[in-house]
Amino acid sequence: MAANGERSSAGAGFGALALFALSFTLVTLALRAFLPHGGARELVDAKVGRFARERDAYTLVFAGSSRVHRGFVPEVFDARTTAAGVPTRSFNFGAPGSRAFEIERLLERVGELAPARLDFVLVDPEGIALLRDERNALARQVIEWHDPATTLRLSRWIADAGLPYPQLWTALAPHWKSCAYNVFNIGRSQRLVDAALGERRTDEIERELVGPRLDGYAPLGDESEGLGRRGQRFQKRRERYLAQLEDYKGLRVGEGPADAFAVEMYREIRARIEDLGATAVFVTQPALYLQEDLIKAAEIGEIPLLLRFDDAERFAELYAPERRYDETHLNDEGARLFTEQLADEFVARVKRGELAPR
Amino acid sequence: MIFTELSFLAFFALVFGVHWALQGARARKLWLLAASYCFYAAWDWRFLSLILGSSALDYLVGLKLEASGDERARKRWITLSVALNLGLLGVFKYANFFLDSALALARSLGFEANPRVLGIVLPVGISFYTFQTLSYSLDVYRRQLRARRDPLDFALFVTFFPQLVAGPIVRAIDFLPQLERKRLWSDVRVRACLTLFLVGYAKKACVGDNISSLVDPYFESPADFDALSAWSAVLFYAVQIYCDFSGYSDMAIATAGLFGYQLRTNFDFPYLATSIRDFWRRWHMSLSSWLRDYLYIPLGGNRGSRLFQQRNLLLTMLLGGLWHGAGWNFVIWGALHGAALVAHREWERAGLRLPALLGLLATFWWTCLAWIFFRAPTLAGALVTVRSFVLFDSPGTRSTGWVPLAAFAALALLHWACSKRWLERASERMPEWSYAVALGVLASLALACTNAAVKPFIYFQF
Repeated sequence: MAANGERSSAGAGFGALALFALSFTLVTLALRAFLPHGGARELVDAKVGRFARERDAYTLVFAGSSRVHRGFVPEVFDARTTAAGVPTRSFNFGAPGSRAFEIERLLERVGELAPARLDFVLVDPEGIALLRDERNALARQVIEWHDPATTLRLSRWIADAGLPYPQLWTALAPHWKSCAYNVFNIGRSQRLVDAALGERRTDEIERELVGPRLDGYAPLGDESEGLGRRGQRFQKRRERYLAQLEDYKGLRVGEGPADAFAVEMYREIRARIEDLGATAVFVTQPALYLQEDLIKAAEIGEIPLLLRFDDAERFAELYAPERRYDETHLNDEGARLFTEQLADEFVARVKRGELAPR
Repeated sequence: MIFTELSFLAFFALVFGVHWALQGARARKLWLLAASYCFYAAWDWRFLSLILGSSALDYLVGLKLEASGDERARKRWITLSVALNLGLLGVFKYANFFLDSALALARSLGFEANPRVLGIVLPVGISFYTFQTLSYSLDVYRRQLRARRDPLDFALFVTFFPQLVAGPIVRAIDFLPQLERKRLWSDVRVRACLTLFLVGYAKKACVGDNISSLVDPYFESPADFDALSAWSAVLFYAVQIYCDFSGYSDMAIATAGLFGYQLRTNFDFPYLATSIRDFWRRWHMSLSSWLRDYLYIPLGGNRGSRLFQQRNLLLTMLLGGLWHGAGWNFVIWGALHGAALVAHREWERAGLRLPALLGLLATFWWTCLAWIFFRAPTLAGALVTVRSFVLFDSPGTRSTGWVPLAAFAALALLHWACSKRWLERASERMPEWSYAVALGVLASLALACTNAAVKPFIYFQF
């Protein structure tokens, strides 16, 4: 009797567990359909929202990380290209922390808007970063692309990289964490929460996120005049920059092939851009960071066009400390100068017939 | 690792599974102790030595207190325990505060001083486990409790992971006898524990964390906002700290319950209190009863003249404020509560009474006023907020509008509804299959309502 009782109790326990799992799964799947990612203060959402309002006016967009967000000035670019007889209307989609996967997701969202006149996408992918900073694992734009299939694919690449055990775990854990958040819909109610708390996409928030001219460019301020801690931080940054600049000047692209995964990702980005009906132009910005895989991918023809601005000797004025915020970012003056040079290079390539709308 | 993280669920599942798979009581206790040390080490392994040292000290003092018949020797042992425990707290929690305050005083008197910064890191949970070990020694000293001979039991009492880092403050007199009882799975109130965990999770992750997007910007620059926004921010901070802390306590109690241990209730709908004394019977009950038994009563309690009693009350609340954090803002918070308790006592002595609803509103308003000092990063910011909150006078123009106040009204209604315990009663009455389905639905909804940016519990810093 006791054994029967135990069996039936264990059976009921497993039954209850199965019902729990079933209802949990069904509701989780249903919520995915009803609750999109995003929130009132999400930069990418704000930029996509702004772009959507005039989607058919834009002919060129910039995509990439904070370097793009702080480094490409649409207003300057458009003025320069128009003056040179190759008019453009551009928008800056740069967002801090965006790497290949975030760029792919962004391009997917731009594609959903079906912009009618988009001819070019200028992209600075800034490396693939298989070893991600765990602090970014819970950023909304990171969670968004961590679906199980992509996470599994990424995990395989990491596992194949031959990392020693502790490092392997450190590399995998943030991705699995992001994936778990994706699977369980964590953070998906943000829009509802924002609405309940009265957070609206006001002009003020939009300007704060999308930049003063609402073109996606947000300048980095000049802190050289700052007093106290701000000034000290600026001094420290500048000293660090100057110390690293000399080392960077001696840096050369190494021997050996490009990382296969990186090449695959660049290929995917290019394909996504082409799916939009646009031409992909890869750019390396003036920073103390050599994108070796990107350069090698261009050399073997995987990337049709790479505009390089990462030569500290050739672009000395862009590497001048007074035009920099830090080792990776330009200040406003630097960003404007860089955008002018980029526009000139772009125009030259168009005029030589090396670049054309698809 | 915090309770609302998925990593905690994985950790808990492992500890829970192995605990109930083990047969012997001692093996289970050893396993729980090892898990508790791992849990603490996940925060900062370096401070394991501190908790081990604190446990060893009070374990030995307990044995000495019990063995000794000489009152003078016993006094020496208890003095040693109190001095070392408070010394530990003093060094790790208050050294920077006292040094900074002394320097500020010296500078105001015209002396120049530029000492080295101490840079002491606050070990997580130190305020909680220090009070636990201290209460053990004091209970043994008062001969209210027999000293524990088994070091395993004592170590588990100090480090039991559900309550280790943010309470509730567990009394040895409640917990140690539980270690002697045989633990049976059939005794565990699984359904009640799961419901309580889910409620705690929802409070912390779905309400508390999401509210911070409204509270934090205000307190960063209160002078930018209008009075309406000040009201929203203060009211929501009251909700946030309650949901954060009581949510943690609920999850701690539920987690302990799933291992077959009972921890005392720590919150009893404090914002429904009709007087400030009632509030302290409902808010952080494990701390308020600790302060009453080990501070207020030894100070003289309700004995002596009226003035003497008021002094005891004020002193207890001032020290209670300081327990929450090393800063003058916490002292002011304690002083405001102390002053209200004194005023309430005199009010009652005069035979005056307030209607319940009026008492509730007045208590809540005063509690919110005190929270301003608890939350504001600077005294100047606190004063700007007080001016907005009390006089409706603010220099700022930014406004969060009326929507947050409507959301607050909804939450207040929910707080009242929860106090009727309908959810608990309904969950107990449900057939097993429907409870399982409901739990699955609610768990999925709770996860979707979770703020993606996991924030540590506010009370960890204390």
